[in-house]
Amino acid sequence: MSPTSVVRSAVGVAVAANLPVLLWGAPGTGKTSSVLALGAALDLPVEVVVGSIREPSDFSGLPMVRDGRTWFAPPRWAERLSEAGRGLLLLDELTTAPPSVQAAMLRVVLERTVGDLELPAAVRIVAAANPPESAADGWELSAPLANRFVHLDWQVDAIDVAEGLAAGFPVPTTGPLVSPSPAEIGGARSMVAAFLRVRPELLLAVPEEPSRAGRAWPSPRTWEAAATILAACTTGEVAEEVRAELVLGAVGAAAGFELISWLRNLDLPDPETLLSAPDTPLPERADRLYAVLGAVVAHVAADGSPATWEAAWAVVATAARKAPDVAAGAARSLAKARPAGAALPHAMRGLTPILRAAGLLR
Amino acid sequence: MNNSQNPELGSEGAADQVLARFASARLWAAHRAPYLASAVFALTPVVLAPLVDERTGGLVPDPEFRAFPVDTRWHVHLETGTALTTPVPEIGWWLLHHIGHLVRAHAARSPVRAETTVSAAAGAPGDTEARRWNQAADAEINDDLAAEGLPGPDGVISPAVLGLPPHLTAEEYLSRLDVLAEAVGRGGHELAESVDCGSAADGVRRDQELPESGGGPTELERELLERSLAVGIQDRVAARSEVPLGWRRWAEARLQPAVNWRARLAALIRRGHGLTSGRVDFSHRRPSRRAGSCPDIALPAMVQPVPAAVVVIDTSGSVSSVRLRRLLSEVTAILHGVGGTGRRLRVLCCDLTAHPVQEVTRAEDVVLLGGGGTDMRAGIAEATALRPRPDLVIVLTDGQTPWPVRRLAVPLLVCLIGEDGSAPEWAHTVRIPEEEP
Repeated sequence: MSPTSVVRSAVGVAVAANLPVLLWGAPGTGKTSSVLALGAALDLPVEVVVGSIREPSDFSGLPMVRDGRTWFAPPRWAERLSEAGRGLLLLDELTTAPPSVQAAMLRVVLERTVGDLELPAAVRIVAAANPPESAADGWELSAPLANRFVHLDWQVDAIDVAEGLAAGFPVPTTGPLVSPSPAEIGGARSMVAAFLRVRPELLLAVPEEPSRAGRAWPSPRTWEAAATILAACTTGEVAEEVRAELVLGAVGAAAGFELISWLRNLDLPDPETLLSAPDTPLPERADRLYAVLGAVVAHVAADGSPATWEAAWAVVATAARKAPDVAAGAARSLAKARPAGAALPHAMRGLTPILRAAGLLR
Repeated sequence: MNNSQNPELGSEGAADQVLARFASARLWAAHRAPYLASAVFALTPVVLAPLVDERTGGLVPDPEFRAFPVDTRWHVHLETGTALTTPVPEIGWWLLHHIGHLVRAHAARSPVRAETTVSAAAGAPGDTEARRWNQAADAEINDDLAAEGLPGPDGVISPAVLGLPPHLTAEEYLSRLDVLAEAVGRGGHELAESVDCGSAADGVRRDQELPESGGGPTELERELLERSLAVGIQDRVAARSEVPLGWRRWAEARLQPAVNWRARLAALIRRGHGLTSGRVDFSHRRPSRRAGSCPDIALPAMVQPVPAAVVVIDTSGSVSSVRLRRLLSEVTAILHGVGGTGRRLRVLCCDLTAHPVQEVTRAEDVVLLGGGGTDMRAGIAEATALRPRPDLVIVLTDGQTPWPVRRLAVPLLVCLIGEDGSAPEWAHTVRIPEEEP
C-alpha cells in the first residue's frame, strides 16, 4: 500500500467514524479536491469554508436584532448543512487563519455550534492546513484545537500525480459509511483503558515545543478518539498501516507506537498459558518467537520454582522444532536461571549442536 | 565443508547447511550483542544459487558476496560457497554489521540515486560514489562493533584503521574519505578492500534481490522494531549494562528526534508576538466591513497592531560576527514574515554596555559595534526602556553572560549559539548549533 493510499483510506475511516480529521500538507497538493471527491463518493453535500479569509463572526454568528433581542445569525454554509441534515464540512487553511478566527473555529469543531445553530450530528468535519513552516504567514495551531483532531500528513506521490494528469485523479476508495456499534466502541475502549493501566504516564503529555503542541499529543480526549479508531478499523476491516496512521494521528507518535506494539503483542501467547499447555501454537516468525520465549524465561526467573523451570523446557523443545537457534538462545538463559534441585531435561541435548556451532558450548 | 568433498550432497543439502550455519551465526550474534537480538531474529535468509567450478564441479566462494549483502527489506543474501567456507562468528559479525546499516537508514540517507539496478560487483567504473558511501557507512557502524570487542574481518574499514576520529556520522566520514582517497590516489593504492553490503547500505537495488513484493517487514513493522530496539538499549543503559556509545546515541536520537531549531525559533517568535500584542483584535475605532448589512448594530472591525520586537546582539569578542549576521538575517526574515516586509526593526548591539539603538529594515544594514566583555543585562535593560515599548526582546548570544535576576515585563527569547552557554529559566530558549548545518 503506497503512503498516499494509506492516508486516503485513513481519511475515509475517520469520516466514517465521525472523528474530526485534519490534513496537513503543502498548498496545491489536492487536499480540497480529494475531500470534494470523497463527499461525492459518499453522496454527502460538502461545504468548503476557508478560514484565512473569514472573520470570527463567520463562525460565532453575526449579531442581528430581531424583536428587540440579539440573535447570532449563522452564515449560509451552516444553514445549508443544517437543512441537509448531513454532510461534510471542510475547514480549509486552518493555520493561515489568525488566532482569533481559530478560536472561533474551535467552537465549531468542539461543540458543533455556529452562532445559534447547532450542526446535525451526521455532519462530518474535515480540516486542511498548511504546515506553518511552509507558509510564511502561518500560525501554529493552538493546542486545544489541535487536540480535537486526528492529524494526518497528506502525502503526494509523483507517480499518482502523473497518472492523475493523464487519466483523471482517483476518487478516494471508501466503503459505505459503517460506523462502529456501541458494543464495538465499548470493547475498544476497555482495550485502551487496559493499555493506559500499564502505561499511566502516557495519559496526558502536552508537548513543550510550540511547533509540536499544534499536532497530535496524548490526552484523555485523544485516547477516546483512539478507541473509536480501533473500533472503526475493526468494523471496516482496514489494513494495519491505515489503523496505525490514524492512531498516531490521534495520540502522537511516541504514545501511538507504544499502543500499536502493545496491541500487536496481545496476540502472542501468554507465558503462563504456555507453561501450563506446552502444545499452544507458537508464532511462526523468528522475532516474535524470540519475544515469546523471552517472556517465558522472564516469567520462570521471577517464579523461581523448580516445577516451572522444568515445564519451560517443554516450551523450548517445541520452539526448537521451528527455529532451533531462537530456542537455543532461550535455553542458555534458562540454564542460567536454574533453581536449586531442578534436573536438566533431555530437551537441552537436542540443542547441543547449534550451541557448539555458535561457539557458545565447548 | 565443500561440495567437492561430499559428492552425494545435492544443492538442496547445501542450502540446508547454509541455513544451519546462518542459524548458528544468528545465535552467536544475538549472544554477543543482546541489545540487537530482536533485530537479528527479524532478518530473513535468502540462499543464492552456488557458483560452481567448471573443472572440478565443486563450490567456489564468490568474493562479491563475502559480506552477505542485505537489502532494504531485511533479506540476507547467503551465497552458498561463501557461507560454507566462512567461520560462523564471521557470518554473525556481518549480521550485526548489517543491522547497523538497516536501522540507521543508510539506504535512505545515501547520496547515490541510481534509477537502474546495479550488479553486485561494486567494481564497475560508475560505482565509485556508491562504494565510497558504503565505506563511509561502514565506518559509522564498525567502531561500535570494535568497541564491543568484535573486530571485523580483514580488509573491513573502520575509523581506527583509517586514522579518523570515532563516532562520526556516515556523512561526516564521506567528506573525509574523499580527501583521504585523493591523497591515497596520488600514492597509487586503494584505500581499503571494496566490500559490497547490498542495497541496505546505499539504496540501489541489486540484481539478485527479489522484486518489490518479496515480503520482509513492512514500514510499520520496521518502525516498531526500531523503536523496541531503541527502548531496549535505553533500558540497558539505565541498568548500567555495557552498550557501545554509537548505539546509545542512536537510541536517544531515535526516541527523541532532534528539534529543528529554525522551526522552533520561528514558532517562538510568532508565539511571542501573538501573546503580547494580541495580534488580531477587535476595535471600534474603525467601522466594520459588515456595518452596512446591519445598521442597528455597531460591529467592531478587526485591527492588526504592529508588533514591535527589539533584537539585542551580543557583540562581545567571543561571538563570531559571521555567525551573528547569519542568525540576524534569519530572525529578521521571520519577523518580516509575521509583521510584513519592509517593517522597521530596532537592533541594539551590546558588549559590556549597550550601544546606540539602530533602526533598520534589512539585516545587512546593521552595523555590528563592540568587541569587549559581555553583560547582556545592559542591553536588555536598554531594550525594555525603549519607547514605544517592545512586545518581544530577542537576544542573540553565546550565553557567557550574566542575566537579569527577575522575569522581564516583556517576553524574552534567547538564541543560544553553541553548547556551553546558559539562559535564565523563565526565558524562551533556542539552542543553535555552532557549526552551520
